[in-house]
Order: sequence, then C-alpha cells, then structure tokens
Amino acid sequence: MNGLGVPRWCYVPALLGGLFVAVPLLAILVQLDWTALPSLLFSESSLTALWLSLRTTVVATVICVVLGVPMALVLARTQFPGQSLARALVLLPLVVPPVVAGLALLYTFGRRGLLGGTLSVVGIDIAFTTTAVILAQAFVALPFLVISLDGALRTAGARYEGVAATLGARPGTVMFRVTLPMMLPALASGTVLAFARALGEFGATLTFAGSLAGTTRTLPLEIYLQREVDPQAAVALSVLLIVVAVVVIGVSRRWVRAA
Amino acid sequence: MSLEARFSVPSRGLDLDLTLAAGHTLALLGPNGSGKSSVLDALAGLLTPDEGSIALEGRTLWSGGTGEVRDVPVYDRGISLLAQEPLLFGHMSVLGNVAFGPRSRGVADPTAAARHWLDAFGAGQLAARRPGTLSGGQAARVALARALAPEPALLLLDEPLATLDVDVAATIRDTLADVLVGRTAILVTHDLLDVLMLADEVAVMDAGSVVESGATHDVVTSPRSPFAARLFGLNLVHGSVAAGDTLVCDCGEIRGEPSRPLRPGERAFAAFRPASVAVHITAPGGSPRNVLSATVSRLEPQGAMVRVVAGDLAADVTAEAVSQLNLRPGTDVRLVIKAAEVALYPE
Repeated sequence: MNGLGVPRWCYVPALLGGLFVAVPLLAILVQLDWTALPSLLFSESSLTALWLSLRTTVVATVICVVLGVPMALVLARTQFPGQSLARALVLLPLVVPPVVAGLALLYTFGRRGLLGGTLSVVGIDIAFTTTAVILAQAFVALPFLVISLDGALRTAGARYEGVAATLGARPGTVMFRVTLPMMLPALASGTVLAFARALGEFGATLTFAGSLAGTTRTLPLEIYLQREVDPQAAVALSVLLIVVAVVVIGVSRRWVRAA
Repeated sequence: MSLEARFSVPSRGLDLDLTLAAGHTLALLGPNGSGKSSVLDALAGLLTPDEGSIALEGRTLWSGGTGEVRDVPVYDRGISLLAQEPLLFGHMSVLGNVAFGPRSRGVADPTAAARHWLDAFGAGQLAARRPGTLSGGQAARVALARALAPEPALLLLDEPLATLDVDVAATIRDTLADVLVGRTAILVTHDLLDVLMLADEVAVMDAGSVVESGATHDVVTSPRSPFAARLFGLNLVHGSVAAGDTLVCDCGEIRGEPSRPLRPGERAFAAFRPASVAVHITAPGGSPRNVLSATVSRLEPQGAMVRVVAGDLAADVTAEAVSQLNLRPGTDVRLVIKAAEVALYPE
C-alpha cells in the first residue's frame, strides 16, 4: 500500500483541524469543578431547563421526521416545476442566522404576524410559549434531515423501487417496505443531526420564544444566563449538553449498525 | 397474439413494433446501445413512450400520442422485470424477497408461493439467508424466483445469466428452459445458447428498431441481419439475384442452393459457415466453386482453428494453413466456397 493514499502534508492541516475541535471541548472539562458538579447539575433551575430542552427537542425532532421524510421523497423522487428552487428554499434555515429565523417566525406566528392574527382570534397564541420553542427548533433543524435523506435517496437511485413496483407493490407499500428500510442509515443520521441542532438552538428561540423559566428557557438559554451570575454552573450545564449529544450520537450509531 | 407493442421513444431513439404469441419466449438480440433494455423498461412501465400503444392479453396497458390516452401503473401491469443485476432487497431475507411479489398482489399464502419458486430454482436452502451473503449464482437464482413468484403475465429478463460462470449459467439455463415452457417472456441476451435453448422466437434490434424477426430456427439458419449472422457464426452476403442460383454482391458473384426458386433482380442473402471457406493465395482450378477476392484484416483464435477475417467474411482454417500460406493482415487472398455449402434465400 506504500505510495497510495493522501499526500503527507495533508496530515498537518488535518491534525490542526482535529485539535481545533478537541481542545475547546477539553478546555471546558478542565474548567469543570467536579466536587460541586452534583449541586450545580441538580439545582432546580438546571433540572427545569434540562427537562424543557429534552421535551421540546423530542417533539421538534418528531415534527422534522413527519414533515422532512415526505419532503425528501418529493424532492428526490418526483419532478415538478421549480424543483431546484424548492431544494434551495429548504436549505434556507441552514444559512439564515438563527436570530433572523426567530424574527421571521415572530412575523409569521406572532400576535401581529402573518398567521398570528388569525390564530389569535381563535384563541391560539404561539409566540413566547413552549410551542414557540418547538417551532423554532423544528424550523432550524428540518434542513438537516431533508438534506441527508434527499442526498441518500438520489445517490441510491430508484432502481430497487422500480423492481418493487414491477412485483406488484403500490407506491405506499414501496415506500414503507423498500424505500424507508433501505434509507434507514441516512434517516437515522439525519434525525440525529436534526435532534442535535434542535437541542443546541439558541438565537431563534430567544427571539421568537423569549426566556421564561420553565416555559421557554431551554438549556442553552439557561447556560447563557448562568454565565453572568454563576460561571461554574454554566460550565456544568455545558458539559451536560455535550454528554447528551454524545450519548444520542453513540446510541443511534449502534442502532443503525444493528439494523 | 398476447403482446402487441408499437411505440416510439424519441429521447432513446426507439421506434418499435413487436408482437409475441401467448406462451412464447422471444429472444431480443442486438448490438449494445440498440435499445433492448429501454424496450423492457417501456413494457414494464418504467419508461413512458411518446406515442403508440402496448397491449397484453387484450388489455391496453399504455396508449398515448394521437389515440386514446391510457397508462396502467407499473404495479398493475402484471409484468415482472429482472434487470442485469439481481437488485435483491438487502434488508429482507431471501424468503422475504421472493414473497414480496405474491404478498403485494394479495396472494393467500405468499410464503408458500415463495418456497415453491425458491425450490424450482434449487435455492430452497437459502430461504433464511440475507442477500448480502449470497454468491452471484445464488443471487441470480433468488432474483429469478422473485420475478416469477407473482406469476406475471409477461416476464422480462435482461441478460440474467451474463455475469455468471459458465457452469452456473448452464444449470440455471436448464431450469429456465423448464420454467419458460408455456410462459410469455422476453429475454434480452448476447448468448447463442440462450437463444437456442430458451427462445421460440427471435427479434434482432438495431438503432432502436426491430430489423429482423421470426421463429428461432428460421433466424438461426437464415439470418437476415449482420448481427444475427455474426451471433450464429455465419457469413452473410447481401445482393441481388442474377440467375436462379447466383447472387451478385459487392464482393463478386456467389452461387448456392436457393431455398425457393429466385427471380432475377430479386434481393436475396447468401449464408455460409466460416468452416466451409477455404483460403488460397491463387485461385484453384477444377470443379465449379465460388472464388471471392479479399484482403485479410485480422486473425483470431477460434477453438483449435484460426479465424481469418477478410472484410465482412470469415474463414476458419488450420494453424498449419496459416503458416504455410504466410497469412498476415494485409495479405491478398482468394476465398473459395463450394456452391453446395451456400444457402441462398430471399429478403
């Protein structure tokens, strides 16, 4: 194998990049006051924020899957006018700054927003509620799921679906018995990415949902607040957030490999 | 007729007219890129023609363009398509793969149907395996069982044995020969054995159209296209009849045995086997023979013989003859064929 592979100089920037990712994570662990960790983690405000984050993130991820899977299927497996424009639009939340996304949501679902006024009449107020947290998270996380699934669908091609159809399977059967099972790894990694993005959501949430303890103050918002009053608590919560993310990635990878 | 298909797909250069009797197997031949696979895709519904119609067992599956518009969905056509690759579903067991068709069509006991077809292809012991663990031959058997399990009204096979070892292909071909009896099927192939063992009829495609079709025996003995002649190992010469038993072509005059009395001026073919062609440097005298002038373009091994290719014609001679005559590409030769070895037949 000698003489094959990447040029040697590649190792230098690759190592630098690796350190760039690893060192800050290490730095935060160094800062951590291990003896005070339990009291910091299990304070009431921390637990409230963690519980709110987990609930909203799970619901937002479910919304992403329910909407994102059909979106990816329509983008990858059908042809319609304006398709490339639609594909670009789906990516928009990925490139728009989160605070802008929050403002956009506010002008859509806020009391004076495009839809908010109508919703308000029937007694539904979304802005500055837990629902707003979920919408903000789903809005920014959706593209992650759609991109990974759309890419995988287009790479795989439609040949297996063609075979299934000639064997007599209707489109619904093809989707549930062939397409989605074959796409399981891509669906899982897309879901994990969406979950992670939703869990870390900050800017859109703050703009659209505010920071009300127990209602809209998720873990990232709590960390930002604690940073002002109790930096040690902020570090402890940060580590908690990292641990949750690592666990989710680890579990989903094992699950995909088993499937 | 069970299958009647007349359609065009300009984007793939297809303009096709194809009929097939119920219970017959048609071998679809032709050079690469002549549109054979596209024909199968269009019949199965995976490719939509621009105009024409496709009918199977009296039921219109597709019609469009100028006439009544109709498009039966792929899953409702009753046409199984086996592509060049097995394309087994990797997330299902072998049994699950084969039961997929019967289950989708609402068969009462899909698993029993699947076991029946796995057994028919000698793959019953693979039922619990995952497709990823199968050899190429095993995957081909499973894919064939899966294509047949829904009992399709028309079976489309795209070079199912092309990628297999000779021995494996031979055993699967034997099974297919039994299975295809009384079944309407189209088989795309480049293999002479597939044609002889499996096909009742032959159609040869070139550049998107059928250029020759007929019963297998007729096409094998009297090919009318260069592709079919090459596949069946015959020299084919096209020309016009000068007298009752003489054909005038670009390469000279050829006398032979006419299949029926031929009229002067009629267009006709002359076919003869490369083994019937003798190669000389100067024309021999003696009994009435055909002598054609040609220049050797290349030499190829042909079993224990050497095939001398000269222009459009081929002659199989011994290695001894090659060295004795000092045959090389560029050598001018006389090809000598006995009239009794030449079949003459009309267009």
